[in-house]
Amino acid sequence: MDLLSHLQLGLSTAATFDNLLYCFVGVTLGTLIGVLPGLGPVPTIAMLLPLTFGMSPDTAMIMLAGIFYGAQYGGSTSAILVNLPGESSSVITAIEGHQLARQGKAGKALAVAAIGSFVAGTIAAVFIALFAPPLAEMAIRFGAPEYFSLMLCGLVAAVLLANGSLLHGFGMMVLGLLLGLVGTDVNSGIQRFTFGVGELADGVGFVVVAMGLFGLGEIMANLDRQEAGHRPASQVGGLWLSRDDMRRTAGPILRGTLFGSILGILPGGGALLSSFAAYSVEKKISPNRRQFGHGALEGVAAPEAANNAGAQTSFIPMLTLGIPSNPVMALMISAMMIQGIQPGPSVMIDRPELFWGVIASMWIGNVMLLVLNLPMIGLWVKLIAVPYLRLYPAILMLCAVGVFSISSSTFDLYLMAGFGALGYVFAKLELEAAPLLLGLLLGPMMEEYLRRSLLLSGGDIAILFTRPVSATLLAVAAVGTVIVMLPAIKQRRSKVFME
Amino acid sequence: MKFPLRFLAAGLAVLLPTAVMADEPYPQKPITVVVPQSPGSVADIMARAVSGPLSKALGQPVVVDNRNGASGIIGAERVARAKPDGYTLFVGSVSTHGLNSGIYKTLSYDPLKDFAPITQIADSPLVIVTSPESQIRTLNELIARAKANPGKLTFASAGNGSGSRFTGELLKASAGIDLTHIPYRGPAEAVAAVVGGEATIAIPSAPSTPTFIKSGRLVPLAVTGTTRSDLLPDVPTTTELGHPSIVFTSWTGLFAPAGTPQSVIDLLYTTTKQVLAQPEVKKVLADAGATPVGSTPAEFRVFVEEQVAKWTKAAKDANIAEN
Repeated sequence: MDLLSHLQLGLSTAATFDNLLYCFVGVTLGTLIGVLPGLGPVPTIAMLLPLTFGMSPDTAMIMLAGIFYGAQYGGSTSAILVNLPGESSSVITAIEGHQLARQGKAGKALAVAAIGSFVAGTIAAVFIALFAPPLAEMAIRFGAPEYFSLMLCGLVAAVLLANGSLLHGFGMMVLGLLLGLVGTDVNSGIQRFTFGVGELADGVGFVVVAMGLFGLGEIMANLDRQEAGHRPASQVGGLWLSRDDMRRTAGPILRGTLFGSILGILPGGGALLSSFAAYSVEKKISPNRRQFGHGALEGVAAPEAANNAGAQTSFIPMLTLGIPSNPVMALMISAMMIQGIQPGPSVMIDRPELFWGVIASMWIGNVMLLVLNLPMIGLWVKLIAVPYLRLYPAILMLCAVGVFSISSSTFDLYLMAGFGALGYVFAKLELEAAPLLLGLLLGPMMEEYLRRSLLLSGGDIAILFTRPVSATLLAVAAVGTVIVMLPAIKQRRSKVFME
Repeated sequence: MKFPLRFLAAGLAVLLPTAVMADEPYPQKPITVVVPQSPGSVADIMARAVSGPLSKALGQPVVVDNRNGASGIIGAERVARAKPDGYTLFVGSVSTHGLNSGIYKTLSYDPLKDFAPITQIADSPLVIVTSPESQIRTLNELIARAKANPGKLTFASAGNGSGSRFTGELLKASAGIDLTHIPYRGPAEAVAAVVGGEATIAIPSAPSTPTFIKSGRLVPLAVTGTTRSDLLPDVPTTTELGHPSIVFTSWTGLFAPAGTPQSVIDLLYTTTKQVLAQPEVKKVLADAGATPVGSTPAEFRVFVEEQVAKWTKAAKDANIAEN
């Protein structure tokens, strides 16, 4: 069969000594930068791009890909241990993961994250091998109206995310949307709410806000609690998963993988939505849903599986069509161009060893990541036993270095400090930051897609309802809204949730 | 991760005697080349292609520093205010030294007064493309179709103030047609929109197109250079097709802050010119679809002046200026 011979070609490419070595280098480096807050795969790959000059194209791509999905693994570590999501995908992991860490179950959370990512990575690799070309074809037909409706589903999920009151969640989401308005308007080129500050022309950076609200806010809140005699998560225990834990997380991991694999293909920000969607669904259907917000393993397993699967399937549009789905893929395209390969539909035909080699290496890389990460868990959990007095200055410094490394701008550092103060206020008021971040991410995209839809239809809003996929997604959003509203209408009694 | 290198560079700079004597030959310490676009962009590929050989020839590290954002304004402003000692250079482009003057009413730097041009590095045209599904095969067919359906056809640009937007406006003006402009986030998104059938035409850079054309997903209508592109030898230029006003080349060039000593400018020019003649550098540029130029500082200054004037006028004519 065709597929088998392709996979064989891929494995034989990926399993050469050089490629195994650079795959290992890539995933190790990726884990490292993922753990360090702020330092993401984009600057790392940009930095290493010139080094790939001397490598063969498949080796270069395998290493760079390893950095990308390795960073997804690593990103969950700092999210769980110190509530610092460095990547948009680990925001969700932080919600339940950090709660678990505070209860002394950091080891379990990390193990679930690693295993969930591994299972998802393995399934996604097979998924790509089986369906890459037809899926890419579908993804490209996903137009502006479809994206808008998909993002609307995302916003409903954002409100669903909130563990406290619905009104709080909604309010934070709207605040995020408003923050998303800052920057240059794509359609007219006019700058909005930038107050003449050049650094704001491209909007408020996600990492800056996430670091400020989560990282700095958390530090301040912790120090506050410490005054009052509490210590932040410092006890360690429950390193390994029980049989029961495995059973509880199997379903969430598989559902998360499904969300990640499908949404990851969409070039216009689908991968981003997958972890949000996976979490929201688990929160509604899990038998343990009452535990959500107080440290539910399912709430770590599902989004972790989703973001790792999404990271891998986001290669599909790049490898099959030459269309980048995120900044990392844009860099991969320039890496290919440096090698003299024109990314695009012909890569699969002209360079099958490259295409299938990269896919096979993903699976090998995932095995490496699991082997690398599981023994590390013991080490990581010791880290939070370090006295907070020593730990927090280090976190603070890493946040500053991370933010500075993205834009090399001191303005962003001040901005982060400002959001840190805001994060402290939110912590005091018991407002959750996750819906705000989702609003910030989705707002600008929704606006762009809505306005583009209207440009395409000549101003007729019906375009959103007459295209079947878009209409279906709108219906999903409507059903989601009803689900969100129902319990709120039925019960003010659920003060338990508010605790 | 670009951080440690910059630190290393700073560390090296500290180790060297800080008070460099005026008669000591340039360069005495690492040179920073500011690229106002993101890693992987055309300007970045050009900068990285040249910086390696340049540092070999000059005997000092040449470090590429991406300061992207705000159509290149952030990076340009930084270099415009930098010490004119030859240790901070800039890879400018048609955006920073042309289009921006047309788009922004007030620009925080002056592309002519704040910069000393060194040499034009490279040049590459854009291509007007459509999807085979549109059934349009030539530029004239596109124009005829647009005339029959005013405002119904759409052109996808890589952003409101991008080169493709300007070129689309030139096309509208030259052919006397009405196309609906749809801005996208970047060039890849605009191409994807045409491949997926969302927009009628896009105007991406030449090197990004051959693979799509070969696999039958895009149909090239015309290239926007004054001569045909080596990458697409069968595609006519807009000038050949009777539209000489639709000329757009996406160029990059090396600049220093104004006030940099002439001896430094001349040294950088001669060295860069030699670098551009090296076979490996030529190959990287050719793979990126660019033709090496290597003009003298004087020629390059005239070119930049023409560009600023041309795009300021084009922006006014097409009513692109917004800010």
